[in-house]
Amino acid sequence: MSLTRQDIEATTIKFLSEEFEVDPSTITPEAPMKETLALDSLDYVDLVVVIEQNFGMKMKGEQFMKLVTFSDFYDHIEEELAAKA
Amino acid sequence: MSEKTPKWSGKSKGFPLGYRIFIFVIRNLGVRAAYLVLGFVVPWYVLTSWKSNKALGVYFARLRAIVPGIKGLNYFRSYMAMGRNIIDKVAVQAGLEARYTWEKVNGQGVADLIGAHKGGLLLSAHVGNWEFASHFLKGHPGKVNIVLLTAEDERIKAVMENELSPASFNMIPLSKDMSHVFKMNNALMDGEVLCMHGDRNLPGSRVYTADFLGAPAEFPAGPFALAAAHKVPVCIPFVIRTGPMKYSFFGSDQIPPGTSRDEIFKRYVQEFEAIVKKYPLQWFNYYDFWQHADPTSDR
Repeated sequence: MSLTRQDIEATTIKFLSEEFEVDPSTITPEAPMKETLALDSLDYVDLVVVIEQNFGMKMKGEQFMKLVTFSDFYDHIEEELAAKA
Repeated sequence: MSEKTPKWSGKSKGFPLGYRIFIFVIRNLGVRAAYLVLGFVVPWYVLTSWKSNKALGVYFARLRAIVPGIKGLNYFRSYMAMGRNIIDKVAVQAGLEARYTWEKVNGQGVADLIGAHKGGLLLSAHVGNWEFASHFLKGHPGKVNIVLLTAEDERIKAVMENELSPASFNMIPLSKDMSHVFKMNNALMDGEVLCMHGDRNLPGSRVYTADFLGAPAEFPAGPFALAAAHKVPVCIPFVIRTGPMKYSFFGSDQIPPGTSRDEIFKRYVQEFEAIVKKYPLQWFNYYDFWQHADPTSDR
């Protein structure tokens, strides 16, 4: 099953807003991930699990350091899914 | 539940020279001599620790409002309790373990959780002397990893590590390079246990709010969200100084895997409040725990 960019965005907004209890409208492509979700060091451990549950891929801690905005995150997921296909 | 900015600075109380002096006294003159020295040091803390005193005053007021007839709450006794706690920690790590009495009040849930090798979380607090859990859990099969806040005073940790024997448990510090994410996930996948405290927020982190000692207070969201996301069992253990040279281990029953984060959080607050009410001078909390959950407070 291949996911379009729109699917990735919709899925991400749904699970992140539920997991981190933020207004879905605040998750825009340009918004900074860390600040929008109020992520602390421990939350990234949580984030790895919910990403794996939703996209079937395991992210490494250091990969998060390169992701600033949600757009960066969507790019990363797209690349990983394409590499897996 | 809500998200706000917390207050704790992330620093532990004390300073390296003080620790070195006490390590010297304990090694050369004994534990009771160190308690005696403490009796001279604590008045200085009482007179100079204005911010801590103010926070303690708020805490004592909460306790008095919710525990009718509670007695013995004062700054001197609070700082003495913390000092004795540190002295005991140093003494045990320096090999004087046999001089203490150890009592396990209820530890089967924790022992089963660690022994099952299926991953799990131990959620404790800055109550009593958690480090002594290693004494109670000695000999149990299974590996426990302590998750450390990087904001804890590195100088104090360095002194403790240099002067004393290695820690019994594996340590995973929360680090800026995110290496802890890999280590913590791997530990849980390998059936190991993570242990962390649930009563301290760091600036900018997510928080959950619950009534604690009769008023809304904020707790870090991370530990509870982590337990729920990983679907691992949780236990809530505390190690309390219950008499002169005596420590007791209190462990909750297991909270089964798959329990919601709200339920895990609720259970934690209940267990935490119960132990704080029973041993009020052993919660080593020196900032206003309720400040940010209070809508009338300054931000």
